[in-house]
This record gives sequence, structure tokens and C-alpha cells, in this order.
Amino acid sequence: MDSEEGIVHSNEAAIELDTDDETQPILSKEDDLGDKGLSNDHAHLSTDRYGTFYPGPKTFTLSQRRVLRRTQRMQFKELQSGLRRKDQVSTKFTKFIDDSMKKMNEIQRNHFRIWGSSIKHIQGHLGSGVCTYFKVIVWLLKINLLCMILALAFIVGPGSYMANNHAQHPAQESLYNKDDLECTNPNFVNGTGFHHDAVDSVLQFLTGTGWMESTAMFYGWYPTSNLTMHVHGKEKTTYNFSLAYFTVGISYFFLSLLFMLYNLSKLFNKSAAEQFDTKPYSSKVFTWDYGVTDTGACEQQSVRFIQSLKEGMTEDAQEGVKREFSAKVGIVFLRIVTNIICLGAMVGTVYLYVNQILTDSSELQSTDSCGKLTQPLDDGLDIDLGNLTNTEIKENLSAFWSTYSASIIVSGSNVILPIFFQLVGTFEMYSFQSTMIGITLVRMFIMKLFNISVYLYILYIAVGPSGGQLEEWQTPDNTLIYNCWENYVASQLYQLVMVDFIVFCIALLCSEVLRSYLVTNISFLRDRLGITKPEFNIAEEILDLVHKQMIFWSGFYFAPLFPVVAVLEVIAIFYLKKISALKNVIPPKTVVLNHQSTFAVNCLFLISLLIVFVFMGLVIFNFHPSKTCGPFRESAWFSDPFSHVIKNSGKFKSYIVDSLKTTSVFIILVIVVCLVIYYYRSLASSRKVTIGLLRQQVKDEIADKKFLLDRVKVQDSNNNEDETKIEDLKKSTNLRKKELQRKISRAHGFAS
Amino acid sequence: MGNSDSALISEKQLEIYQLETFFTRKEILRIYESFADLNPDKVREAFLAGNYQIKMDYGEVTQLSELKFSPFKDRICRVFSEDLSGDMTFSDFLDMLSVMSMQAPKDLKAAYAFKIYDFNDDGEIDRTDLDELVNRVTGFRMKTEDVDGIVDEILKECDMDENGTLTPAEFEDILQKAPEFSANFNIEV
Repeated sequence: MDSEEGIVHSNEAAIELDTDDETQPILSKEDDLGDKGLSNDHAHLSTDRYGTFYPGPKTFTLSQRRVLRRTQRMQFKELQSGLRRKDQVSTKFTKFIDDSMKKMNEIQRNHFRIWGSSIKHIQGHLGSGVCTYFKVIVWLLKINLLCMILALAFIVGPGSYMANNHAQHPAQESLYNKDDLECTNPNFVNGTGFHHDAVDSVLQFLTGTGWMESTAMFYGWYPTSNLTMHVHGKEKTTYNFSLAYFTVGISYFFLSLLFMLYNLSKLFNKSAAEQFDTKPYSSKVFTWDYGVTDTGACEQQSVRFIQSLKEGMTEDAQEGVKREFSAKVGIVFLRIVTNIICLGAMVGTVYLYVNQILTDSSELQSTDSCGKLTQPLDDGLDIDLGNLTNTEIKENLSAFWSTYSASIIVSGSNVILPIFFQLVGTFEMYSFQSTMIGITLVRMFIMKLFNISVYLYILYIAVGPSGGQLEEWQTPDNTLIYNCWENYVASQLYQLVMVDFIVFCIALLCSEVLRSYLVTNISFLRDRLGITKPEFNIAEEILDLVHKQMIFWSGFYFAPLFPVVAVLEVIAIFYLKKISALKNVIPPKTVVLNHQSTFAVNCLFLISLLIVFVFMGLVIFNFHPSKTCGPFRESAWFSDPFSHVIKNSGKFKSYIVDSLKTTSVFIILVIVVCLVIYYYRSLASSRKVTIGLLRQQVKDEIADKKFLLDRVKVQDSNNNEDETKIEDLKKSTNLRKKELQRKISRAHGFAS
Repeated sequence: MGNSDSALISEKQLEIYQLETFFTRKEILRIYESFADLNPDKVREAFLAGNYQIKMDYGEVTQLSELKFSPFKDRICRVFSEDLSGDMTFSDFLDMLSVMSMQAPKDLKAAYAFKIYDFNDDGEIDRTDLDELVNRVTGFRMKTEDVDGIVDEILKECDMDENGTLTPAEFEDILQKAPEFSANFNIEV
């Protein structure tokens, strides 16, 4: 076994370490066992055949035990430092990787421990299950911070520098035609645009239209020129801004992908090693959570233990719930109906907002060559609180609704549908509680994924006509074209983020704050109805995080300041959730906290990233950049700067890049990956077979041991019988000897 | 936290501690702070005088917030203290936190968990130990028949050679299959 060989290795290492360490202020003189003393002592240690040291507590002196503990610690440290098994090749390269991984982990532990004390505080009150949710938030923060640093350093920084240097007037007025700027959003009617009143500005901040479009937030503001810098007066280096924008946009996704794959690979190892035969009772009893430090929380933990143990016992009793055939058919039918209802609910919400987005656009009239509307819109965004008549209120409300509806529907359905699914789940009469919970979670995940994917797809379609245009501004049949469609996409996503956050805050208020306030103050609810403070449902909350991160990822390309918004929102979520969790929430009853569930969570993130990947790929490589705004206005494709650079950098490089694009390279790569997978798979399956054989061997050994013990017992009892017989015989011979002696002495007496 | 405190532990000492435990320099200093907080005057005096073997009584050690309310605090202190009385030196304290930190490997934790749960210190976990364990974990709230039932189940699941007791090897094997163990067997200061 691993540990056995590892300990054999480190045994020798430990002995060497000890003899080298001469100045030990911890040990006093009496502990000096000499050079060979320790190795001799090892022979007396009780090592069972697995090689684990177990110094009996009462058999050694204090000093011996102290020394033993030190060596034990050092052995385990050696183990931990990655001693490889004998059959693995340990080259310099693998050692280098091991060392660098260790260093990275150390640096991360020491310097990048974000919010460590808060998490520890939460763990003390609510246990390690809830703690994992907050650790996921920290992880998301790290990803978003990374993207933010990239964006700020390579895009926003140079962009604003260039803008400020090129203009004497505010940036937006001289970089491009003011007329062009008005073309970006059909709702943008007012020519002097940037001077709406306060309410308008706030609303526009929320929607990401109007004055927001001319800030660094969105794609449209960025210039297309290159930055030239003088280096010591001799050479001019150019910073190719459009190339930078494109590269950074692509690298967001690749970096996040790498980050996640790294985490996944670490977890997959552990999660696959988890055996399928779980031991329900022992794993509950032996895994007491030592991190819980609050007295109330400790008591709650005991109570939860009791509940879960009791549930385990009743579940065991219930295992064979046999149903009659007719009942089975009824239940299957019922479940089909409920599944259709759930699907219907999902499709219904999707339909609502799809309708909104597509009709929203088609209400507007056709545009002329610059996108100036030929018919004035109701400027729904102007809400004059002074005089409002009924019709005005109606108009304003309908305009309000038409702008915000899509985002409200998406965010609202995220909150309402889970409750709906739970209700449906209770009707379905599952025999186990855990299956019901599992199915509700699956439905929720599918719903969220479905929602966002359809939203992205609809955006893709809405922008299609605009993105497909290279020259013309207007298609023959007057479908609406956004002259800066990237801004439209970005502002829609920005809107979604804002509304989602507001809905999140409202939901938090209602479900946690309000409920716990009512429960603590109105005893009727607590005593009669048995309503308690809300339970912290870890899986649902994590799914919510997946949903939010998916929206963030989809917005990164078109809005360079989006990562900043993402970081701010993640920080806000952490603090809001933390405060609410500490006051208003009780820890969940059952916590399934194994590597398999963490692996599943990571997979969910990966799936959502891949969907965003597909969307971005479609948009970037299918659509032409718009002519009026952004760094790519002079290029026909987004990837143009990249291909320019390749072409200009010499024949060899362009040859390489061209050949990389051919299919043969792709096929070779696929074949190589398949071979590697096949190799590891066969290795894994052979190891599985070995494990099975070894298990069987253990069982046989136990049977052997029993058999031999029985035989020894039998022999012993035979032995005992024989011995008693011998004793008896001895006694009888002694007696006879004495008789004979008496007879002889009597005979002698007679003779004399 | 100040320079004066870090000077109380010599560099050589810190290096040795780093070798022996799973902690970095910063973490060792932080742990020293919490150790010193148990009885500040006593500890500072002793360390200034170079006496690193100063012992904190069981009563003082259990003032630590992580141990105060734990049902296993007496066992933890006993297992990790050198003379098994529950009084701990700084080295014992470090040892305890090192074994119960996130970086300690699973086998080490399993070995020490075994010692903690072996209430009568006989090298094996038998029925009486398991009884006591289940009672402590449920806060002494369960009836004896239920406790007996659970102990029977546990022995059925874990005891491979069916002699009624758990050896360290069987215990470790069980904990391999209980994935929450390494996450839960943690005390962070």
C-alpha cells in the first residue's frame, strides 16, 4: 500500500534527520538517545502489519514518547512532500513541478487568504457545509479579479489614455461623429443626449443606455487607433489596441477555463477514489465537525446527528416499499404529468421574454442611413414627476416595462420557479426524501441553464441583421438594425446583471430577514404552525452563483468594465449573505459534503462556461463589427488585427498559423488525445481488478485466521485434557509409590 | 502582534517548528499569540527566561474558544499532551493544531482520531468506547436501546475480522470512505 512504502522510505530519512540534528533546544539532556538509540527503539515499537506507528501510551517514558512524536511528525511531513511510489518515475521534471506546486500553495495560503477570518466565524456558527458556499464565493472572486486586472491593464488603461490625449474636448465628442453616437440606440432621441435630468440619468445607469454608452463601460467608446510610444527617443513601439482588445477578450475565457480545469483535475482524483459502498452510520458518527465552536451550534449539531441517525434507521426499515402494479402505473403517470408541467413552466417564461425582446425591437420604425428615427418614439424614459395624467402614467409604465421586462422575467423566474418545483416535488410521492431533493435540484439547474442560454441565443438573433451587414445600413425589408450592435448586447447584459442583483436583494430580504423577524417576534407562528427560521439551502445557493457567473462571463467581451461590476457584485453578495446567515438562518439538516459533490459543482461551472464560449464564438466569428463605434470599426472581422499581425510577421510564422488551421493537424491532435485517454483508462481498469482481488484476499485471510484460531483452540483444549490426564496419572503414580514405600518399610519392620 | 513577540521565539526554534509541523512561519507566530493569550503573564515570563517547556493547565487550555464547547475536549487535550494529563506545552499545542490543520494528510488525522476515540486507552476501539462515542456525539440524548442498535450497526459495517473491536487499520479503512472526515477534523486558529 501507498502509506506502507512511503513510511518505509521515510523511516530511513527520519533516522538520518535525527542523527544530523545536534542542537535541539527542545530536547533536554535525558532525551539524547545517542546515534543508534533511536533505531533500536524502533524495534520495540508496536507496529502492526500495516506499518503505522502506534506507540502505546503507557509503555514508554515521557522522553521516548516525545522523541517518537517528533519522528512521527517528520515522517508524515516527508510523506506529504510527495514521495513517489516505487513504480512511478520520479524525474527532475516531475520534481520541479511538485516543488513549484508546493510553493504556489504556500504563497496562496500566506498572502492570498481572502476573508479568512469571516469564513472561520461562519464555520464556527453554521458548520463546514455552509462554509463551502462562502468558499465558492471566494473562488469566484478570484476569477473575476483576474479578469478585472487583465481588462484594466490592457484595455481600459490604454483606452482612456489615448482618448484623453487625442481630444481637447471630452473624449466622446472628437473621436467620432456625434451623429454616429446617436445612432447606437434607437431609444436615444435627444441630440444633446448627455443632459437629461437626474431621474433619467439614474434610470439610464440601470439600463446601460443613454449617457452610459459614452463611458468606458461599453465597447463603443474605445478608439481604434494605435498607441505609439517613444522608447529612449529612438524606436517607436506601437501598442496595437484592437489586437489587444481581441486577445484579452479571448483570454478571459481561456484563463477561466484553465483555472477551472486545474481545480477539476485535483478533485477528480479524489472523487473517483470514493468507494461506492458507503457506510452510513460510521461515516456519520466518526466525522464530528470539530470546527464548530459556538455552544449553541454544538448543541444543534448533536440534535442534527440524532435526526440523521434516526432517519437512517427509518430509511433502512423502509427499503422495500413495495407497491402494487396499479399503484405503480398511477405514480408513473403522475410523474409524467408533473414533468410536463415543469417543462411547460420553463418554456412559458422563456416565451414571455423572447416575445418581449423581439417585439420590443419591432415596435420601432425603420431608420435612415444613420439610424435617426423617422418617427418619434414616446420618450418613455422621461418621467416628469411634476404633472402626470393617467395616460401619461400608463405610457410611462408601459415604456418602463418594455425596457426592463426581459431582465425582470429572467430574474423573477429564478426566484419563483424553485418554489414551484419544490411544491411539485411534494406531490410526486417519492419514497425517499433525498431523491426528491435531488430531482428538484436537477430541475432548477436545467431551468437556469435553459433561461440564460435562450436569452443569449435571442440576443444573437436580434443582433443578427445588424451583425451581418458589412456595407448597407438598412436591409430592404426594413428590419431594425442597430448601428452599434455591440453596445446593444452589452447594455442588455448589463441590465440583466443590475436587475438580477436587485431581485437578489429583494428575495434575500423577504425570504430571510422578514421570515426570521416574524418568527422571532410572533410566537403564534413558531408555536402553533411550527415555522422556523429559514434553513440555509447550500445547493440552491450555489446554483444561483453559477447562474450569476454565467451572466458575468457573457458580458466580459463587450463591456470592458464588466469585470469591475462583477467583482463589486461578488463582494456585495458575500457581505450581504454573511450578515444574513449569521443572524437569520439555521444550518441545514443534512449536509452531503464529499468530493463528489464538489466535483459536481465544478462541472456545473464548466458547463455554463462552455455555453458562454459557444455564444461568444458565434457572435465574434459570424458578425461584422459595427462601423460607428469601437476599436474594430475599420476592420471587416473581429479577428482581422490578429491575421494582419500574422501576415506581417514573416513567411514562417504565417505558414505555421495557416497549417494549424487545416484539418489534418486537428485530426492528429484528436488521435493523440484519444491514445492518451485509452492508456490511462486501461491502467485504471487493471488497478480496479487488482483492488477487487486484494479485497478478496483480505477476506480469505480473515477466514484463514479464524480457521487457524479455531484449530488452535481445539488443540489447546485437547492439550488441556491431555495435561489433566497426565496430572491424574502423575498423582496416581505418586500415590502408588507411597503405598509401595509404606509396604516396603512395613516389610522391613517385620523383618527386623 | 509585534516585533517583541516574535523575538521571544528564536529563529532556530521557528525553523525547527516549521520542519516538524505543517505550518509556515507566520502561522506559527499567530498560534503563539493565541497560546500566550491563555495566560499572558505566565507565558511571556517563561519564554523570556528561555523556558519553553512551560505547561498550561488543562483548565487554561480549554479556555481556547475552539475547545471550550467541544464534547471531545478532554480527550483532545489528553491525547496531545505529553504526560497524558491534559497539560500542554507550546510544542504540544503546536502539535495538536498541526495535526488538526487543513494541510495534515488523512492518515495522520485518522491515527490521531483513533487515539481520541479510544476512551480506555487500550489500543483498540471496543463496544464500550463506541457506546461512549455515540453518547457524546448525540449529547447524551438517546436511549440506550437506540445507542446499542447504532453501535451494532457500526460494528457490522467496520469490523472486518469480527472480533468485536476496531483496530487502527480497520478504522483508517473506514475513514477512507468517509469523505467529510478531513474537512471536519479541523481546528483553525
